[in-house]
Amino acid sequence: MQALCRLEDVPDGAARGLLRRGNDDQVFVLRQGDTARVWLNDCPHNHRPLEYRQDQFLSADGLHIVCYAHSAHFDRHSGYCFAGPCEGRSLVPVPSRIEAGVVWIATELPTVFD
Amino acid sequence: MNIVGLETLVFGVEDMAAGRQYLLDYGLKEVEASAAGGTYEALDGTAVILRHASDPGLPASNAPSPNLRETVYGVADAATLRALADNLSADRQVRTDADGTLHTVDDGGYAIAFRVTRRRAIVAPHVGINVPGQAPGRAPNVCAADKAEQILPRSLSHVVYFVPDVKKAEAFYQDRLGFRVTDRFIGLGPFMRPQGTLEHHTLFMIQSFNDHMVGMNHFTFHLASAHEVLHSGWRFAQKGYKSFWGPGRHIMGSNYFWYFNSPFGGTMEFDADMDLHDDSWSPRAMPPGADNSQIFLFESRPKWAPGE
Repeated sequence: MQALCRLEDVPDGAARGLLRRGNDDQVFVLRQGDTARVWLNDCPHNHRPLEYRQDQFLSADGLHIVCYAHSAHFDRHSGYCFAGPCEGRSLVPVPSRIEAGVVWIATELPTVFD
Repeated sequence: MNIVGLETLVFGVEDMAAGRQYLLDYGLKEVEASAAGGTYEALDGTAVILRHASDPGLPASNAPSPNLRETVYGVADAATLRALADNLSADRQVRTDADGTLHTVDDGGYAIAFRVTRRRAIVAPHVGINVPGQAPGRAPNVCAADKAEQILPRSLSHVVYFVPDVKKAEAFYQDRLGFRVTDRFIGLGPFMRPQGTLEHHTLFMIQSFNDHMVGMNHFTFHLASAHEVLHSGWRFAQKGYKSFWGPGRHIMGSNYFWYFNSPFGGTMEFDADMDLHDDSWSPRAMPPGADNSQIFLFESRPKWAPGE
């Protein structure tokens, strides 16, 4: 396992990109109260990062995850793409758990082929 | 039809502050801003206009918000505008606003408009490169690599649409507006230029393969040079903006490119040094894919020096 971040590092309701490799954050974490969901930062459309600027992964109203390359919209709970060029596909979830305020994920990330 | 090129692109956005900051960081100049939105200009006066997606003054949307809401073309003169009005009003609604701008809808579902161009002559320092065997591009003691250089986009270059029926959309631009096809990606769509410019494309259209490939794919302004594409893109990435593709150089059009994700519904590109074509050119057709999409492709990396 690896510690991804402290839950309090992510503003409630917001997202944060993490695990930088080269130019891109490999995952992003979404916090909702005491819970967090972690996703691979990989849009099923072109397999590129989703955000338009550091940590900007959500729609303006905060309700959805958005890929800012071609406007694919994803359910923020299930990762399902309900609108956009990859409609019907899903983001790859990264299993996580929270212990003592720290978000933990597996050392090895899932891949888009999992 | 003497259409000279793009004049403005009007976007309906959800997050005005983010859109504004993005365009300022891209290098455009804010020439007007209010609660309704703002106008962001290049050196020749071509511009992006931002409005709230809910603005009742915008044409109807053809894609989820945020997205492009209207493409405004500049035409050479009032006679061209009259000819367009006569031609287009034969089979579609054409509205003339208080400015004299014609508004209608193309056969791909995009709101388009025409006005006599207000493009200005570009006043900017000469950009030259030093090439052995040619006259020097820069005077002695002028240094090209300047960390503090100001890079200002020069002119609105092109826009790219996803369209539901690319043959129908192409026919509209060719038969009704007199655009020329300069090149084509087989099975994907045409690069087109209006008659009033020799630039390889001001419009590229991509066939949608599902009901959700809609709206603008990308748009860009011309910068002065490959150097400016690299330097502007470098700075943009340092500000946290996310590269989508590039830097590289396309084959069709030969333009240098660097695309970034944007809050406008598609990507926004930095572009420079596009080919010019006249009517003696025979369009090429190539299969799409990585090999034909660029002659080379690079990716930025952190600065480094030997010994570090």
